[in-house]
Amino acid sequence: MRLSLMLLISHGKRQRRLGGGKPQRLNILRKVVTGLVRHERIETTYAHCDEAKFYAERLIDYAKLGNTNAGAMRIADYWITEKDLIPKLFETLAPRFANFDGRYCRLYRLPLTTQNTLDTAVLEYKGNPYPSLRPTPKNHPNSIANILVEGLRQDYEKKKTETV
Amino acid sequence: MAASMLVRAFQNSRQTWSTCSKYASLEKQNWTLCLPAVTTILPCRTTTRRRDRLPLPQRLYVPDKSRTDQDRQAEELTPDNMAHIQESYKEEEESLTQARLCPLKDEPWPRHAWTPESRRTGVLATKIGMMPMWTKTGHRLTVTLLQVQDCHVIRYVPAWDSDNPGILTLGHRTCSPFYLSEEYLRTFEKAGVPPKRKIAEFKVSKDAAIKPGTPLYAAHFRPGQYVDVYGKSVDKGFQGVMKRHGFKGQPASHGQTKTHRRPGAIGTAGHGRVLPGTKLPGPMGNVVRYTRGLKIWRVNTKHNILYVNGQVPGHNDGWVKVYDSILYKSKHKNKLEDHLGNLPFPTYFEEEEGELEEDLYDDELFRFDEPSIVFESAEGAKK
Amino acid sequence: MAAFGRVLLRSRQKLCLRWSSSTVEAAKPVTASPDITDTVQDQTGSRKTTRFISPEFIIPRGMKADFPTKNHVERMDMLRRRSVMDIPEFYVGSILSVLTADPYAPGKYQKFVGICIKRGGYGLGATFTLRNVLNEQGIEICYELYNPTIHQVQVLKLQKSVDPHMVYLRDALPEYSTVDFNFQPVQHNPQDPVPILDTKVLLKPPPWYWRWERVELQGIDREHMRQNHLSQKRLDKMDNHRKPWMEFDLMYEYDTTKVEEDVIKDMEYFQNVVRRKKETVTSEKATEEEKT
Repeated sequence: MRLSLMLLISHGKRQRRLGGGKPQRLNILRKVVTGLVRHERIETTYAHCDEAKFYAERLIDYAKLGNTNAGAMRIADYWITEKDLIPKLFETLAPRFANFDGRYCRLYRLPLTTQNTLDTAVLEYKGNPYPSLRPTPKNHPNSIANILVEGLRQDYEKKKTETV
Repeated sequence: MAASMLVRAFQNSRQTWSTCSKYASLEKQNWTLCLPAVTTILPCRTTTRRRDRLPLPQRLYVPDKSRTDQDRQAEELTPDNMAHIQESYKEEEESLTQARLCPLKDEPWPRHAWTPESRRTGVLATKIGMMPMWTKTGHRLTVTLLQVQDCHVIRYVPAWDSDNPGILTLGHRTCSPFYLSEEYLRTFEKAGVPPKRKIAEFKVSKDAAIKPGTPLYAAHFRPGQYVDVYGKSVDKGFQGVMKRHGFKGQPASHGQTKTHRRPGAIGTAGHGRVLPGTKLPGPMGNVVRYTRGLKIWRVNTKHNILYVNGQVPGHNDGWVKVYDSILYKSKHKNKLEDHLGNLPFPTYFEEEEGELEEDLYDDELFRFDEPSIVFESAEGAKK
Repeated sequence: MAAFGRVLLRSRQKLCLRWSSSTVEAAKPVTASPDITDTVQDQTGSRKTTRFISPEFIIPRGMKADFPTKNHVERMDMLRRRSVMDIPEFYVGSILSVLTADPYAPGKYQKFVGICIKRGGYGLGATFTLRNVLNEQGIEICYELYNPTIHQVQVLKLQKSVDPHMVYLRDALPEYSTVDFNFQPVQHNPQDPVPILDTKVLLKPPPWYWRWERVELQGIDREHMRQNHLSQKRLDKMDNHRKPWMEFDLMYEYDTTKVEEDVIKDMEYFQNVVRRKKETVTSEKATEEEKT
């Protein structure tokens, strides 16, 4: 749930309005979630991604109950419009997130450019086969700042061992 | 001092990221999705202190090409070093706050006795919600809860003239120094307290000056006294006259066309213009408001909560200034000696007064661990 | 398929004020027949194992949940009041009698007996509404649960409505909300599940307090309402207001397990620390008095 203090203060809005009315909103989000389950990384508008993220994560919670659970199957049947994906949800995604704590998605906003002024974003399931969008952290331990802080850290640790 | 140096180093390594944002719009052709070539994308963290907007997730940015990789490497810290900075700062913050817990031991400023002309400092507090309470006569009250969180004296500027009050600067709610400007951090160095989210000034008389670094608690105020609360009211946006000024509006039917919530005539006859100050639609709220003469019903000394009568301007989680009511000069003149004379002066020091009870109640307030109310006569119920 | 929806609805009623407890948990027991699920839920429900938490302890979602200090302080006050006056477990549909101190009543006390049709509010501001019909006149009194003028809340008959509220009794025949003032208390074994009040109520002809045909409440006899009280126009519009997608909108689920953990932690803290402190203080005072 995208419930935050600031959002509630601004007129108590809990969710965005998409399409025409509440059933239409869910229909849009169903398509986004289905696409996410199929491709595991999708690019749409930021508003759609942000709303769909919550549902995509809760869907995994239900999928973890197993495909023998009637309630979970009912929810999966509603949220996945292309029915060939239902086995994938229960047999591939649910075991993948068995040890996760509930945050199964990543959301990135893309830069606004002169060509495309639409606020777009990337939504992905964790553990997908694509290369990472974030750079791999590189260590430069021989830079000046790092050498100075390293020295401080060694002093600090030495002091600690002496006091003990 | 070591910590402040480290903060600089931390901020420098952050700044390289934020400067990337300037060039983001120029580099669309470089942006390719799902390809391993995009390995040099860096996240941007802005160092804004605005809190009225939702924190949005970070954007992905194409890096600044005017800077070479070597430039960037020179300023980036390894995760171990970054963790060390934060860890060592935590210890320093703890030592800073603990050193200030007993302010009287540390060369206190000369103390003075209270006089009717004295003016104590107030405190900064957070509004955390409202709840009902009852008096011993069964009368229902609504109280607002104001929490005093890490309130410290930061600076005292004495008056240039004996007639004028001095100015005491207070800080409220400790925060992380890693995203604050250098000038802002410097204000806290002299007082020796960790940096604060909010600072505000209070006028105090000469004899009520407090040494910088002293912590202030909710026990600065006592149940039974009256306080004034100062805060910024809730922003209502652009509103019509019925909501903004309480106009009556016009009937719903009986031949009304498109005129139900409008102001009606604005009295331009004769002069032919709109007089300044005419009540018209416009922005409402988001202005500073005082509520004066609120009674303090109860003080929680453990969590530092003031239970103040009635409503207080502003949102929950917003800051407010609380100080002794100025109505003691006019409306509550006869209670001045009783109320203000018995308060801790210039403020509550724990080592002087000893540890207080967890809850201090007003005499009229019903305590929830008392037995239910029994009425002896009908007059007993009247407030 | 229908079993899950039934369970979801039932869990909403169980918790009165909230939408559902963790629906993921509620979905767990699966049986073949949807009718059995309900009874299995109630019989094997966590009633024996977990503690009963009164619904006013569960804070609504949103900004109020973001102030743990305020919630803690408020709960301590609620527990203080509960340590002095016994507030029993009751639900919408239970028959209660309430004794309050009233300065204007003869004898300074007032007693009212009625059926609980609504529970509202949270924290110290929690309320419940009792309804009764006296001399052919319907009477409702809204009591504040933590008001210090209340001396006794007694459950005469513990039962639970299938609906989250029973406000429709205002538009029903008076016999459903008439309770005798000398109603004899019905004993209830705390080990047993709470009996469900599943009478179908016959409504009076409109005008009504609310358009009951639009609301999916199980306590109303819909067939009787449809045949006797609704015009063709209202019948046609009836289904326009149904919201079948609501049970799939996962955003409306409210997982209260964390709040319940906090409440139980506070209850234990109160039992171990606050009450013990008070007892030692009172015993010290007593010994001092004896000495003097």
